[in-house]
Amino acid sequence: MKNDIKTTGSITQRDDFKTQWQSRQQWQEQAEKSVPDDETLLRWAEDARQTSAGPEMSIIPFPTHRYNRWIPYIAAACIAIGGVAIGLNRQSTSENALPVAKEVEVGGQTVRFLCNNGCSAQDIILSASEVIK
Amino acid sequence: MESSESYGANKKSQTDFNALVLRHKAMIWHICSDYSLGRAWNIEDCMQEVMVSLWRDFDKFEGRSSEKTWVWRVATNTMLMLKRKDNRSPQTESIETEGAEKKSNDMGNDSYQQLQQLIEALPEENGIIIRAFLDGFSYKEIAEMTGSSVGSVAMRIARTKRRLRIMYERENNI
Repeated sequence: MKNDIKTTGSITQRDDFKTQWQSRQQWQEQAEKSVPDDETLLRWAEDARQTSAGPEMSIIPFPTHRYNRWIPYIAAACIAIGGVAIGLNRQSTSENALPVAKEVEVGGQTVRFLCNNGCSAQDIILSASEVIK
Repeated sequence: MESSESYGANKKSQTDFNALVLRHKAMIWHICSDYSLGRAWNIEDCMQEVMVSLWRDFDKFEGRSSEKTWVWRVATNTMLMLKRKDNRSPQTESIETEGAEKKSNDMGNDSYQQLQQLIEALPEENGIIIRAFLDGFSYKEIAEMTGSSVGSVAMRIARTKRRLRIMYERENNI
């Protein structure tokens, strides 16, 4: 390692850190093998578009494929703006991406929450009340 | 809150966007993985955050820089934004009922992780430049991405490499 670091000169201009550079390159190659398949990526691309381009209301763009993880944040954001959040699930397709509206009472306010993955209003309330605490 | 019109989604098509995502999927993925290393971030979440940013800015891309450098810049900015948010936020336990994984975040080997830690310890702008350099971009491309001159980029890279070497030697008592 020491020698590698001390090496200067000819192989590439990056060989000040030859070992690390090579390991980074190997790591990148390995990481790139785990890139999701094209179908998944295109679904996410569609989600990104749907998430960004909603109806006239305020939009909180959350790619919420780990839906449960984001619920408290979305709920908190709903409260903050007194508005509407749309959660799009990465499982969504253009056919089923139209959200299902759910109205829930959070912190004394009714929040209209739109989601499309069957998440129950009860789940949202429980998560939101955790946030409010 | 921006309206959907401001995203300019009408001018360029979803088909173009899909093609862009597929062309640069490996690069976006490795940028997400790179910044996620050592953090409890889900790389897939990061990838989706990047896609949202790309879509929002898609219409603003005018082809003055290469598509690759534009995607790299948007992805990097998104990850930096997440990093800043992460640094500001108190650590919370997320509720994850689907066994959400911390997979891939520890996939680096020792040499790489050490390099990564050193890069993380650099001032942000130097970290960006050295990452771009390690990702194989030319000085000219890095200058384009960062809005600097080629000479300034060359100088910063040389200085950052020297600094990294000193940090490395100090860390390893060399």
